[in-house]
Amino acid sequence: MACSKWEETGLLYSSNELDELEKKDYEEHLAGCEECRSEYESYRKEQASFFTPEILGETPSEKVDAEIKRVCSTPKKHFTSIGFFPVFKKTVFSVTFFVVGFIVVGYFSLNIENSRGIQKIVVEEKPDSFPSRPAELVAEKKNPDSLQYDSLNGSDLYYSKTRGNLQIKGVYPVDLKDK
Amino acid sequence: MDPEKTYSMQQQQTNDDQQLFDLWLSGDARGFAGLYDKYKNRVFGFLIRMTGDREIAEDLLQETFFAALRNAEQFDRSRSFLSWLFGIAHKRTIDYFRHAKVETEHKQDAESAVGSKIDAPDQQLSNQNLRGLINEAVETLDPLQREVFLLRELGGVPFKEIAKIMNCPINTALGRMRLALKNIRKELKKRGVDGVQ
Repeated sequence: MACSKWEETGLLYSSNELDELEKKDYEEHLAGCEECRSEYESYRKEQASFFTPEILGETPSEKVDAEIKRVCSTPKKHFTSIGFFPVFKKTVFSVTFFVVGFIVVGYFSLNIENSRGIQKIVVEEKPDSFPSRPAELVAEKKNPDSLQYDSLNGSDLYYSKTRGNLQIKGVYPVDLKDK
Repeated sequence: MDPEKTYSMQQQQTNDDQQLFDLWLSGDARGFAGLYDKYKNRVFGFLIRMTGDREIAEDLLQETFFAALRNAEQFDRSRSFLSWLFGIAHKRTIDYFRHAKVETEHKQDAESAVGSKIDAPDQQLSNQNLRGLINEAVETLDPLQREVFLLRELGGVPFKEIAKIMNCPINTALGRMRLALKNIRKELKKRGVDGVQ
């Protein structure tokens, strides 16, 4: 069994991974320890004669060589994040995609709306608790379709809450009681 | 050889690699060709011994270099190019085993599979005896010991990085390396190679 110092620091010394102080300390130890010196020398000789790239390495086939060289020899074609242009190209593509998408979707949705002929009339209803709302209009809401005299404006017009001013459209109220 | 001299040689190699790497990134094909020709055999040697199959190793070799190409901008200049490349090769190997779910089979069949499939190219080499014997000894190692051994000896990856790559404490990596060396010596002795004279 080798010296414990070899087991702890010998390999790190061989691969030059010790700091100056540790290295000096181990060199002092190496000078006095036969076991460590022998281990160290054997390992260095093995590295020089046995564990070389010529012995441990392998040669890939020419076909693989050619393919790797073909793909990797021109890095600029393949890098996407190096250089301004590829990034710029991506941005242009994304922006164009969204703009075109927005136009297409907008165009079709407008067309569908027009073809149906829907006219949206937004009626803002004030809450019942609104202080300026006249009491008779609040009561009238219970029967919204009823015809009644527009006493508020004094204009002698008849209107329906749901169908608006009927007189403009040529509809006049008929008093059934008289008939 | 003095570790100091080895270190200065490694430093020189790192600088050369970074020059080739910059050349490659600038679009000069000679940069990649220089790096690839220099390290393809080492990376392929690692992959073939980890997978035990020449064809799979060739696929993983391609994936390794393609991944290096994709992640080139993430390369940390303070590290050596070879260590970085071996880190990628290690990840490809792990992905392969995870994907194929053959890790258990790999452990069980490592000896027979590796021995039978990678013997062929060895026979064409002039130093086939020594090469064959050492490869046989390496193939008998436990996969974890083999991985540490190959990362260190073929990739020149420092133990601190090996520990990081293999997600284990540095003492575990050192322990695996010590066992790998011990087992290789034992296997070589069995085969009649008794140390280096």
